[in-house]
Amino acid sequence: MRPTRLGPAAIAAALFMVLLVAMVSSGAPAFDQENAAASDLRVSVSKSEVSALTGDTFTFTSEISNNGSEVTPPLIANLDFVALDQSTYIDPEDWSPQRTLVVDPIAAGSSATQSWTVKPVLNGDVAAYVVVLPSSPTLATAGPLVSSPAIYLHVEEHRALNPGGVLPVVLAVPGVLALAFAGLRVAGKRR
Amino acid sequence: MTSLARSDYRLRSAAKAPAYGWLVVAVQELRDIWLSWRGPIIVFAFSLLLSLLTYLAATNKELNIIDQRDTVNMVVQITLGIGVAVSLLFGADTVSGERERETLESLLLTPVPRRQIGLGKLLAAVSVWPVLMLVAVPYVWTLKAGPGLFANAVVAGFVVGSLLTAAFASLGVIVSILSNSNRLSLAASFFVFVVLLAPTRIPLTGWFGDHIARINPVTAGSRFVDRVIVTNHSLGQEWTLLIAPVVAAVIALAVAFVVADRLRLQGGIDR
Repeated sequence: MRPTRLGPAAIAAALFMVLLVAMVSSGAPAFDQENAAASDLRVSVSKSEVSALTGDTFTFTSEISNNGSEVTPPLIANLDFVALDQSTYIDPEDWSPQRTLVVDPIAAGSSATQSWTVKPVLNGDVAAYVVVLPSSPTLATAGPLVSSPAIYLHVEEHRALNPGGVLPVVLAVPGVLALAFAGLRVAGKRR
Repeated sequence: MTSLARSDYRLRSAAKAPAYGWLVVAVQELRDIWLSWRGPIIVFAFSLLLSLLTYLAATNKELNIIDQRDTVNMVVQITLGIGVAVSLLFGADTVSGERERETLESLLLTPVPRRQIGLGKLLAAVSVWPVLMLVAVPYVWTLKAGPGLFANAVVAGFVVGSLLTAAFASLGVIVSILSNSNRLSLAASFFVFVVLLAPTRIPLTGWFGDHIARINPVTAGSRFVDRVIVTNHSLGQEWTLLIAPVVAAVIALAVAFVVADRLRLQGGIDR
């Protein structure tokens, strides 16, 4: 019986199958693992829309849920702002005193809650959102970031007549000085 | 007109010099400043400026844009700058102004030693500084973040301001004694002040910048106030920054007294 000879196409197909099996059986590389971990995270926020005046303060919470089967690495949650009207200049540091929080590893099926304080300083339409990424530099750059839905902020200007309670001093000091100097001048002329 | 010969003047001074001649001169000068429009208008305008700045700063502070310490620092630094500038200009007007108003001759004919005339005029020139600092206190109080910041801000501002005022008012008196023209005296004094003030607006970094900041009495004083108020350092922690203002005040006062002793009717000094 003549032995069966394999053609070049069959050899190529066999090699491709061997490589494919090797890739699958050796386990997914780190990059894929991280992608899987990132896709297992969900970030939700406690508010979807806020109307505020400049200078007001409001808080909201974000919740990071780990829907995967493995514990997450340590995470960083960051609060960001984007002007939707493209005319409001936003310096995020002015809008929130603490914009970055370190989140401890979250066990599978668990979640972690963060509290954020926002103080709008300029009027306009702004979106605020929380973005989560692994704190390890190598992991942070390996996969896509996880972000919450945006909170829509509609901020109107607040006009305070007595900001910080300074108005009495601001008016009284020049007034008292004017009276004092007028009195001094009158007294000087009488002499 | 000519001035008294120095030997004649000394004989006269020795015979009739009152012990408190400087006080008589100072009181007269203080009356000129505070019972005329000059002092009151400057202080009133200063209070209006601080009111405006405080109101704007409070608005921003409420919105969290400017830190509370920065607003207090701003008020103290402005008080320092204006206090020193006004004292300098009052000092620069003391003798050359009298020359132009033709009232110096009668002053020189009084039996008051010339050094005491200089001292009296210098005291009157610096009198605006404590008044301006006093006016600034309510503004610092209303902007302060806590009692510690208030006390540190007032003490740091008063110490630095007193040293710089002494130095620059003395400089003004020196230039005024040497100058025939009041315009020249005011311009020259103010030019020196602006030259020394300018580096406070430039970020002085690196060893060279740091040396300049420590040698220049204005930048050193400004940096001292900044560190105490904004960086929350203790007063003793930054004492080395007071060396330049102290040295400047001592040298300027000493030179002013030497030059005042050689005061004459015309500009320049007796040799």
